[in-house]
Amino acid sequence: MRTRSLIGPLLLILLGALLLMNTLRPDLPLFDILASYWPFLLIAWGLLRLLEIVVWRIRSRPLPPSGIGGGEWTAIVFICLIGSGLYAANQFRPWQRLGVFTSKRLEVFGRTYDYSIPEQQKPAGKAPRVLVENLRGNTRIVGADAQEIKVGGRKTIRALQESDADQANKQSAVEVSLTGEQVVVRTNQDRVTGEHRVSTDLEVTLPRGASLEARGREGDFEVLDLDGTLEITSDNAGVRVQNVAGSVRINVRRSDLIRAANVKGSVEISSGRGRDLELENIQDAVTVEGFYSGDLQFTSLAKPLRFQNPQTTLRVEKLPGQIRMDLGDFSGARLIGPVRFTTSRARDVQIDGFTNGLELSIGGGDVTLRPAQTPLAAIQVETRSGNIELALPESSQFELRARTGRGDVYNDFGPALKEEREGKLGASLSGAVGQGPLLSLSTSRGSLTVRKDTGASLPLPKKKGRADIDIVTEGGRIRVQKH
Amino acid sequence: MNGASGSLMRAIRGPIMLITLGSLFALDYFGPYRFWRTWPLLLIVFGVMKLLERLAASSGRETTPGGPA
Repeated sequence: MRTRSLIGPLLLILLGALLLMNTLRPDLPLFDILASYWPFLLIAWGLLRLLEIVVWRIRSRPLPPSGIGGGEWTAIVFICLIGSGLYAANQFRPWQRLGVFTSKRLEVFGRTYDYSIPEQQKPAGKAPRVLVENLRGNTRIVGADAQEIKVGGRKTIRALQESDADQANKQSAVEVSLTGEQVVVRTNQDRVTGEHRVSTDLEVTLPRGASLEARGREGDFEVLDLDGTLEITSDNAGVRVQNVAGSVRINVRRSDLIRAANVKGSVEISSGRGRDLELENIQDAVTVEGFYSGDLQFTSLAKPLRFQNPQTTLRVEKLPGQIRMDLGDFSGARLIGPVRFTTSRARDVQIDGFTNGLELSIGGGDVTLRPAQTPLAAIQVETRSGNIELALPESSQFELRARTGRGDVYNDFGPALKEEREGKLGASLSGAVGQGPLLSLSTSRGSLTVRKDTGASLPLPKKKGRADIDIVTEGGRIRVQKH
Repeated sequence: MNGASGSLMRAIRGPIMLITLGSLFALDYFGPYRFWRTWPLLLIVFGVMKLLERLAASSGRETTPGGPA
């Protein structure tokens, strides 16, 4: 009997498991993990093969002429090509996002040496223009009531020997210089010869009136208390911004978190691939572009909000309340419209209290709506598959045109609205209650409900797979409550 | 035993090469050495495996003629 290897079936199982992970948990950065860790697949493959051969040998089974056949080598070459390609595409990989893997890189080789950056101070005037460039490492920039710029922090360098690290430290000395009217802070990691990873955690204090431009490749930015404008550009960064009076522009290719709170100027964010986004208390217009795989949260925006990527468009004129959005849900409370939300994805949508009309078009999902007050404004809702529920104030006047391709109709407004069957499975509900704007609802499959608003708040949207949990102590006991 | 050990050497050559290859890539990503600096190790490992195979085979030939080529 010819002994056959277990590798083939195991590879198939692994591939299936990976694809399943990808469909079940699209939020996990599976590609990033694969791109960095695929060489271990080769090692595991080789070890398994080795083990098999030893076992066969011990059991005196016939050994194959070569340990790894021609077909297998072809597969390996392909894996190497694809893996290197993924890795190159992923060059600025977000260690921070991987959680478990991240805190410590696999530091098998070399050691990490720590250095503190000698503090430097330069007079800069009241409202200087400042450029901070930190290629790798975290940067914290704080505005203060002072007229000079202060730079300090620490550095970690990974090297085989201390002398190498010392040299790298000297080569990457932090520079504070005046170029024209601009103060430039540079960490100079690109000047290091050899292959030492220099990571600089920078602490910068600026005059409060400064306008700041910050650049980086990998590392987080935190900016607090500035009166000037702010621009952050990075390949991969988490960004936290708080208390900025000027406009804020954030441009990152990747991010795990972008958070801006208490900004008086406009906010412009563009992210190639981001995870979480939180904007709170912004006094001027907000523009957001890019894909976000995590939670997006907008709270208290005084001017229009525009969110856009190839799949999704959101426009709200003002937001006294809040909008929360992730890949599966959209929920909003107290929106000033006209509100427009279109997405090709499926999302359950729930909006409680909106004014000036709504245009909603989603790729699927349930819709639950409650306009803020009468008189109503035009509402247009389209979902591919899902129930639509509209709760209107009792005194509403409107004209309704609602249609479902397959499903039932529930009507609270009595005979003014006429229900008709359409085809075998579909139904429509149309008519006028007083004189009012057109409400047009359409779903290809799902029920239609038009009900009178009883004042009870809408049920919170179901979160898939997880719940927010508050832990509250009462007399020493801990009670866990869902909200 | 020696003829068999020659074929064993030949059988484990592939897996050992594969492990080396994987390790070099891992070293590139997580260690200090880039792959373009370390790849000659593959040749060396291959040569050493070949050498061991020949040694095992030739020492086998002394006792059992017609060991694996």
